[in-house]
Amino acid sequence: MFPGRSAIKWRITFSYVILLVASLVCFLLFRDSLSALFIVSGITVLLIFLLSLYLSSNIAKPLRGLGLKCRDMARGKLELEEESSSLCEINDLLQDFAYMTSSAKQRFEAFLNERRQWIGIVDQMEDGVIISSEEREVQFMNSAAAKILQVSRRESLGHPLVEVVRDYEIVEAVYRCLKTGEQQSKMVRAEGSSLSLRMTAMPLQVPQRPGALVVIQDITELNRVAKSRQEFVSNISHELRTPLASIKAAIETLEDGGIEDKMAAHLFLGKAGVEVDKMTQLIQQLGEIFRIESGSVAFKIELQNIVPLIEEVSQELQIQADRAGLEITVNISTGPLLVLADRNRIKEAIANLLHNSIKFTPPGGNIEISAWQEDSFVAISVADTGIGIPAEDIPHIFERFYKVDKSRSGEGMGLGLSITKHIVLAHGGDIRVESEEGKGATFTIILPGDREG
Amino acid sequence: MPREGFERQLQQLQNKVLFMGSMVEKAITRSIESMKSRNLEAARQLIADDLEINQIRYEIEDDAIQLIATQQPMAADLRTIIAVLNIITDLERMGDHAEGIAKITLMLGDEPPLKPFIDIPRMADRTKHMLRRSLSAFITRDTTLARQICTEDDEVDNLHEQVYRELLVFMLQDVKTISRATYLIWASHNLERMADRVTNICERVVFMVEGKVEEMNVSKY
Repeated sequence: MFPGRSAIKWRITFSYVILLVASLVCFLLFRDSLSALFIVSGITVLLIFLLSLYLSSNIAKPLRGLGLKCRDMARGKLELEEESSSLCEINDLLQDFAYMTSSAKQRFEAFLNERRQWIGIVDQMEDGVIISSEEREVQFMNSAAAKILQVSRRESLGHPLVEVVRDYEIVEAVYRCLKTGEQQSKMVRAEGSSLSLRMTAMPLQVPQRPGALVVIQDITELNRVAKSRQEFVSNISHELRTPLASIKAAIETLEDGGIEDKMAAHLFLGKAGVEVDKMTQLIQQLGEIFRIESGSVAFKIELQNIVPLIEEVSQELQIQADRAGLEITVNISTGPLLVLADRNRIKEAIANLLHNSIKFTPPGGNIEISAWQEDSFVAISVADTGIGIPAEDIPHIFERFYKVDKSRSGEGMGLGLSITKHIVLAHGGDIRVESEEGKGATFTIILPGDREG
Repeated sequence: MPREGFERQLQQLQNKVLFMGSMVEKAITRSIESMKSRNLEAARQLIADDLEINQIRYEIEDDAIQLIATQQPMAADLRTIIAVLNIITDLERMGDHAEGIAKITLMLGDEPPLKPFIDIPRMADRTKHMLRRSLSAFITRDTTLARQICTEDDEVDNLHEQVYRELLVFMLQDVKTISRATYLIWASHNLERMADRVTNICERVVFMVEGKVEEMNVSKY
């Protein structure tokens, strides 16, 4: 009836004009016949009715559809089909609506992307981040927090903070922060994981969602490094002070007239000399470890049989072992074991291991040195029946100045194993340790052998 | 008061039990650490801090009584509150046992250790692990877990027996070790009692969920 698109008001006006003209013509034609006039009026009324029905359905249907789309949008469905109408105004409205939907969708997606990005950043942080609501429930948790607290993130969200964190010291600080609105900081030792944590709870500055932002840092490693440095300083001062005191005592004796007695003078000078040697050795050892660590030591690598070297070391340390009431056995079943190594350095490495075994094995114990071929490598192990190493100390024993039993400060500086490890690594080898506390320890050095076979 | 308010209060009551559980757990750790490192100052501090555990126990008890008086809970809710009242008694006693270990540390003073501490810290670790999971079972109403934890009490009992025999040998060999060895047996016994308390907590969890009282593990000691 109306091809193409046209405005509603013109359609209505046009329809009514046609109707009016048609009615007028009919009235003029049939004005003599009353019944015909009734018929014409009836037809007119019918036409008006049909016209209204057509227009209303054309307007109302798209409007109704629009209403449904609004509801869908409110529910978060932004993927909507585009529709069109033959009515100009309705068509414009539909297009405007489509434009609005697509721009809302773009903005929403931009917002979501930005949100994902922020969550991603917070999630990649090394520090644990938790957001607690005012009702003391976990609203957000990043993966670092889940890892530190050993909980599942999915099972934590929406749960009470105390149920997730299970550490009253942390929880108490968060409660206090929520209550007073003041920042709280604390050092905490976590149960179970034994991690040292530093936590800070600060009030969340979001007006609609008051709560607390909790940041948890794992400072276990930091603490340990600081402690080992502190121990190093105290060890080194102790190690230097002891010989210095002896030297001082010798000098004082000489000053008090001892110098007159030739025999005594000789004795005390000799003692002072020994102490000076001790200090020199200590400083040499320290210098050596720094040099090996920095890679500035040249190694004289040669292909050689390790068996005589092992026998030599064990013989040299036999006296010390006898004094400690220990037995050293060398257990090498097969013939020559060829390794690519610097003779003196490797000897030092094995001697260090033996030395430790002698130090940490109670009298009556056994030390066994074995060596065997492992593919193109040669393994040398030193096993003792000593006090062993606690599992928690094993990862750290190769660190400089690390000592399992801090109270045994008089016995070495904790440098031997560190030197050994650096020597072995510089050879392209490796060092392993197995130990059970109270039952002994086994150190195994792996060295590259004769690759030709 | 509306029902929603009651649910929240009941939740808060359970949260406080978890809070108290963590206090006890840390008290056990600190007691063993003070003993291992012979840190008398830490031991004294722990004895002083036991008051806090007692305080929170009375706080929870007050809350529970108030909840019963004002809300007149029925069935499962009532059982939960009764379970809470029993669990806090067990927790408080565990705190006392930790305090006991700290007192033993003071008695041992700076006497040289008899032997490296291996089994006693192990007992403490097992007990703490049991305690933590028993409270998880309480929160999640997990009776399977509760029943399983009860069976683990045997491990602690066995360790106690091992410590006892080992120390007995020390005493037989050298009479000078008798006082130190006896103190250590007390410490071990304290830990063994703590593990028994955990089984009590587990029994309460089963009572709370299933409504029946069940003796789940009869300790050897």
